[in-house]
Amino acid sequence: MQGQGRLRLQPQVTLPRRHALPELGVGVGLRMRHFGHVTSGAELGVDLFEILTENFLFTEGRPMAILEQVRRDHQIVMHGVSMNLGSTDPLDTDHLRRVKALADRIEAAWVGDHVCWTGVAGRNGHDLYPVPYTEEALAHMVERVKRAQGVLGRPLVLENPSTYLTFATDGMPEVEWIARLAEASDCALLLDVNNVYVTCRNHSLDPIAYLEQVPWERVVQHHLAGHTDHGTHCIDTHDGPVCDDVWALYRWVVERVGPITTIVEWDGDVPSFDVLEAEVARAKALRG
Amino acid sequence: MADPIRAGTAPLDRLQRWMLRVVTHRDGLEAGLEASRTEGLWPEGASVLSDIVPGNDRLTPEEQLHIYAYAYLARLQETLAAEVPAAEHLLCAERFAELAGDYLHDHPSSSTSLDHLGRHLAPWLEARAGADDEPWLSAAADVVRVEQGMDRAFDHPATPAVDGTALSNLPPSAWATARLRFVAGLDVLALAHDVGPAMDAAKAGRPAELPARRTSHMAVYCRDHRRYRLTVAPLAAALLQPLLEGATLGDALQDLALRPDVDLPELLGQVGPWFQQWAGAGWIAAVET
Repeated sequence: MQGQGRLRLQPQVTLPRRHALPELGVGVGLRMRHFGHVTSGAELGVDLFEILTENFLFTEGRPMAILEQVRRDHQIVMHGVSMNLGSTDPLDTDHLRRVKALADRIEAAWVGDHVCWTGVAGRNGHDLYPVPYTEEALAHMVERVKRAQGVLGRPLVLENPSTYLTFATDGMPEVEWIARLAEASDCALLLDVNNVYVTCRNHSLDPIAYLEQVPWERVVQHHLAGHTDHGTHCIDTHDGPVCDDVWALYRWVVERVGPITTIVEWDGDVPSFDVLEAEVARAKALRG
Repeated sequence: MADPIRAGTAPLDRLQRWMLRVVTHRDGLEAGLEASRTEGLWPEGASVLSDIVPGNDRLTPEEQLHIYAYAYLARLQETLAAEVPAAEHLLCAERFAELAGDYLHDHPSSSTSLDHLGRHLAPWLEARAGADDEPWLSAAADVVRVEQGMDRAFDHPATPAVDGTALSNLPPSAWATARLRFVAGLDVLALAHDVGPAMDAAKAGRPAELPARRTSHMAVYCRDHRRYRLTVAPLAAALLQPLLEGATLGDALQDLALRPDVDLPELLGQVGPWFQQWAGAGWIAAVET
């Protein structure tokens, strides 16, 4: 086992962290609306920023200049949507090499993506499509995560998705499938608390039962975000504040596992930075 | 190492091809389901939809798949509109969304980046304009060219510019062989429409009139990390283009002066102000002798 940190699953139980990735506090996604504010010299109530990897792969212009300026004072974690790790298409090693180059350039704390597929047969749907939770898909994605980590030269931090359907072929619960994926590929995990809530609502699952099965020794990051509740189902829209039910799940996690690097996501109808800082402050208060 | 899944035969591959076909069909979910069946994409052993997606007590399989189908079109239409807002303004949002759907059908994304989604949009609009005899679409194609040109400029690193004194201080003996080095991203676009007024209208939120069909030139550039466009007179564009390609001042000016349509005294009176304008706009990074 590597790593120095210890996780508290129960007050009397500790688990070694699998990956030696640091706890970085609470931050937000770096969004264009806030470029001016975050580089103005104003004191920022965040510990770190997360970037959407793909927004910085093909530019040397203002976004990159802003990113490099922000990096001088803050840690950056990279979070992508295009590795297409669950797909049956060939692994896009050109994309992975571009991601690695960016991660090296900005000395990102880590690099992440999703437990999903985004396209097949050479076409990209630009969505996080659900993987069938089968042995076949598991073996396939384990192999690809290993290869991706080889190209990247670092462990991947993979996020549980929000899903809106299940497949008839699913052979195990999502959380078990993801735990096995992480174990077999030796990747790290990003536990999106909002996604747990959305997925459990959509599939009539108990979110606490889900959280109890998470391999916490591999979790290095959380996401918190808002969603849209349509009554019959929830959509992971990232266009509003974190709801009370998700805060309650976050509190449950913090009380049992301790503080883990947390990012508040807000991608639609992005508010002024102080609104995000208030969400960050609430997360920090729960972490104690 | 090759991927362990064989295309088109393994259950995972068949499921993914089926789902992407279903949720990205131009005419919606029902059409996608029908197309996936007639094209033989259904997973083996599935005779009805619930054999693939069971649904639950609140949402049918169709309703669950519709979430992904709706998201696909909405997200990509929104992305295209954000990439070329003035073109959307010119055509109106409803018409633009309809065209975006058709465009995505003809040019589905194959890139990891949404930045590339509209790369075929201008020629696609041009072709559609010809087929439908719609002058608005042809004009919109030029607006797209300008907006995408500004985006390309925006993605270049900021280059420090020199002021007009770099040129005015150039000794007369050095003019013939001097070269101008321009800031990264500067480009001069040759257009079939005068799209400036329509783009001004879009920026101001005013209704845009159909751009006049006449040859025009638009410079696109970035300064202090802001996107700009500037209409360039035909003769100025004829001088600027070879200079951008690395011609010496002497060669570029001589070629222009030899054109039969150019009045030499008039040209000589214009060149100085052009250079001052270009320097003032922050286009000139260096004067190399």
